[in-house]
Amino acid sequence: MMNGSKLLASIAKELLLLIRDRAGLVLLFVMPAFLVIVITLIQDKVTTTNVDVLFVDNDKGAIGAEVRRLFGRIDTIRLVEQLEGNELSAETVHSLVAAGRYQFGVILPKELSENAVEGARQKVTQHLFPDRAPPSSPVIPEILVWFDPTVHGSFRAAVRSALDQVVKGVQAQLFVEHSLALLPEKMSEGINTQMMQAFPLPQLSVRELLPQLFEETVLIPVEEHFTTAMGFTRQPTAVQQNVPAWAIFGIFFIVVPLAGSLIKERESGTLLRLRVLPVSYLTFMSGKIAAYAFVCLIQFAVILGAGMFILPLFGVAAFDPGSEPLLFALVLLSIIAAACGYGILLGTVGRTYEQIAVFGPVSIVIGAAIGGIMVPVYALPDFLRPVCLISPLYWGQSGFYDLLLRGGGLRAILPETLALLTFCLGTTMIAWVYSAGKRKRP
Amino acid sequence: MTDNPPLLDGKDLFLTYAGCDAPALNGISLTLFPGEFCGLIGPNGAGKTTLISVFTTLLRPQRGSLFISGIDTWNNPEAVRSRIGLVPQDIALYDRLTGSENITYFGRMYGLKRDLLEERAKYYLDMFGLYDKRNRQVAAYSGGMKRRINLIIGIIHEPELLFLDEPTVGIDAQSRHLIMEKLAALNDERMAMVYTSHYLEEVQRLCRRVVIIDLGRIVAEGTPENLVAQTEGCGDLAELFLKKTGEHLRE
Repeated sequence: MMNGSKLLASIAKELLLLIRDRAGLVLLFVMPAFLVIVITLIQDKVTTTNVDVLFVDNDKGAIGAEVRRLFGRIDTIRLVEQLEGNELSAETVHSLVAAGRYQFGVILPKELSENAVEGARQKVTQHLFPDRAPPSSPVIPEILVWFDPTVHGSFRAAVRSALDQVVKGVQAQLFVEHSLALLPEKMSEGINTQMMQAFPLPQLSVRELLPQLFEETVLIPVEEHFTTAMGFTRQPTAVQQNVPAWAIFGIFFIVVPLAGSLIKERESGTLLRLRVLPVSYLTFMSGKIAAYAFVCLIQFAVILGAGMFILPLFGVAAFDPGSEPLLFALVLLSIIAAACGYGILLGTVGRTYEQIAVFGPVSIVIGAAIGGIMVPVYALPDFLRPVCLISPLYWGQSGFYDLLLRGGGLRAILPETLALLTFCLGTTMIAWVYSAGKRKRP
Repeated sequence: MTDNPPLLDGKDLFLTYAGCDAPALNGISLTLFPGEFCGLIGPNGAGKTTLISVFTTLLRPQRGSLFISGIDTWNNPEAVRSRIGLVPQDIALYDRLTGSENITYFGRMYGLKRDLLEERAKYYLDMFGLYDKRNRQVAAYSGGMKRRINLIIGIIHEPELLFLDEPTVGIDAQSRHLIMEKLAALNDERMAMVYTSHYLEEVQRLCRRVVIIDLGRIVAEGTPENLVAQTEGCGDLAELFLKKTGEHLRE
């Protein structure tokens, strides 16, 4: 049976012990908040920061101009053509990328545009007049791209995609230009000479006919929208995604001090002394869980404060906790309960502090990795994606995402909160059965 | 003393630990009456700690019965726990709490009301010379001070029966003297005690009854004086102990 006075005494004792370990407490509150700030800033800036691309234009023609024009429109790529006032050379670019000082280098060879123009003209001619003897095609030199092997695939793909866009655009432009230029000659093949002399066909030039065609025209626009089953349309930001995710990660780290306190009590003999006292396991554990849950709440408040007031100081959006404080609290308390249950289990089953000091954090990192905290679940390998369902960190994250990003209500968060509470109950029951079995075993 | 109903009545207690062939308790029967001061001695591995664990409801033997204050220990352990006290061999305290906070915590776990607890804490802290140091964290206490706080926690609820498992290990002569003096005084106030120690001169000085156990059985029982007098060639309890339990090493 639970005794209120004993429960309060137990909570007071746990809080006193935590307060006395000031350094530990500061770490417990400050480190997760710091983690959230750093990770959010990194994630936010990764998607908005400029990637420097060293650029050498030996061509000095239309293609170089097109690269400048198109890359200039991409926020995440910045062309660097000079360093310390000096023009870059192909050799300098190669050595800078090889040394890892820059991640990309693009080198346009000499006479690229000139040869590309001639190449396009010959291809169009060949298609329009297949009977004519093919002239010797010019060799079009390659555009050289150097990249640092440490660059992640997504960045490489972004730069490659931008270059492909330039190449395809220039090709299309050249083909249209030459087709228009050769069109009168092709049409004149079916018309007799007198007619041609009487009514000469006009010379067609794309630049005169359609001067803006290849510059600003967007024929097929693309519009991005976020869609959720709950009809929520708020723009997801790195802050909205990262603050809850990494806060869950921080909350779960409570297992180390919680399990550690149980092991210390066992090692010091205080747990044995408590077993001789007229106090139930339920009261003792409830006191412990309540005290550590309170610490988690303060920890979360610090993280929330960091998300709402400190992150904006770095130029990113403030965290928005949504408009459902009760549902938010329900998800949060379920996560805290699950973390405390896990801590009780580790503290009961673990034999030494050293064991749980290693196993606890490693298991949380694994839970975070497979649970989509570190890498989004959709980005996980196929075989790992279903595994996320076994991670309580994933349940917690899903609950917050349902609430904050998808605009869900109680029905949406119920599966996750029930899973978290069941996890808490299950781990505590296992700990109780294990502990009772050990106590009764002579 | 024997006119009173027994405070502790254990019969035929038998317990074997999993994986062990030899029983740790091999049919021990022991009766204690209110106000008794009983010394429980034996070599290492004799079964003293196991017997204390059974008496304090921590272990349940495979056979036998145990009543404390007339309450069946197996059926109602919680009721028994509020009537007994334990001073464990380990210094079972929270280092980061003060002496006073430790006493308050365990006192409240015994269900003591705030006023009574404050009154008792003051009384016992004063009795054991710790009142002035009550607000220091236990981590800063000397070994003797920790032992004294360890003892105060065992008696803060003023149990009818107190189990003391080597309460004076590793402390200086002054602290030991104080503890023994105060235990004798508490016993005079009719708090029954079961005292285990390897310091046989302490047992001889304090206990009016001695139980020697070995290999899970009681091998001798009586007043120290009678036991010594009845055994040929023994001048004191230490000689009697060796005679009854043998001189060979147990570990």
